[in-house]
Amino acid sequence: MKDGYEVVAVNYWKSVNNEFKRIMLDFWNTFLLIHDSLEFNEIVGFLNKIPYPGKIMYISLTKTSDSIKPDLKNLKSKIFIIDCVSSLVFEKKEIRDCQFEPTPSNLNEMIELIEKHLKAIEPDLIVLDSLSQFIDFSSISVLKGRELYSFLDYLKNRYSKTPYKFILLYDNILSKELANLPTTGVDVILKYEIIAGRIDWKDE
Amino acid sequence: MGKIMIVDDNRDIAETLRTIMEIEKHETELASNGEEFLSKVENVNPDLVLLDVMMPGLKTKDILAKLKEKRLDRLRIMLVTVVRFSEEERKFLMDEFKIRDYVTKPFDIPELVNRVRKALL
Repeated sequence: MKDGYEVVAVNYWKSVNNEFKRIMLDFWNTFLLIHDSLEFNEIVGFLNKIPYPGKIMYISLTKTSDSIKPDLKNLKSKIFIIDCVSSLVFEKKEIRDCQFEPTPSNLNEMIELIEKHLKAIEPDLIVLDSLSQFIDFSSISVLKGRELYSFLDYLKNRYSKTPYKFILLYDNILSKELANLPTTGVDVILKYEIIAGRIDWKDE
Repeated sequence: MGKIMIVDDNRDIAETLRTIMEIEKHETELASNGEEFLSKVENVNPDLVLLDVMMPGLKTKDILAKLKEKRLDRLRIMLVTVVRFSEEERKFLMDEFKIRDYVTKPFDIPELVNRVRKALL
């Protein structure tokens, strides 16, 4: 080990292919997304696998509330949307279960935004779509790394309803380029992969 | 071949777009925000603008409104953005601000090139 370095964490990795259902039985506080290519219907599909999601606060940095509306009917839980993109382009009026906000330009502004709505919404689960708007995970700088970990610390300290804190989901499209996942800051990292093919069988 | 103005605050993306457009033999001009774009656009007189939606400073709706004010609403604009809009919103952008096309990031290069060719026709 290099001088001045010390072990900060040791991770043991295992495949979770067959344990996905068990993981989803845990009670999660925060669901983070990285990379913006997950469509909202895919996010809904994931959220529907959580047995007791409660009330969800969905913070959108990439999708307008109008664009996700058609898929909301498939979501099993109650959702409150913080739409941080529509006001860039459109004049929007307040609608039920949706607030329009300016786009936060960094994670400190994101903390202010969460703080603003936490009390009113009292969510059981926060979904952030997505962290990639603030951090390039292919080449994360020391400064950005610090910003990310202090954001995660804030959520841990301010908003910890259960011991299960962060579940981070990313798709496989750019996975080879994501060299700097926050491995020590989140509890579970899931890679999302769509496998297309002829169906001869199907999991129940 | 045309003159293309690339408006994006992310230097890496702007340079990538510039390289792609120059390989396609287009002339390019960069602007890193709405203010810079608006100050340059009349002099540059581009055939097409590749406009990012999420930039610090002026909001996209203000940029588009200013273009209208300057009577530059006939300028060909293509949005290159991570933002996903609904069909109605896209239609509104096309009707109200004459947005020619819409490409989502991360973009597929051959598709982008094709769309730029079509927009320039």
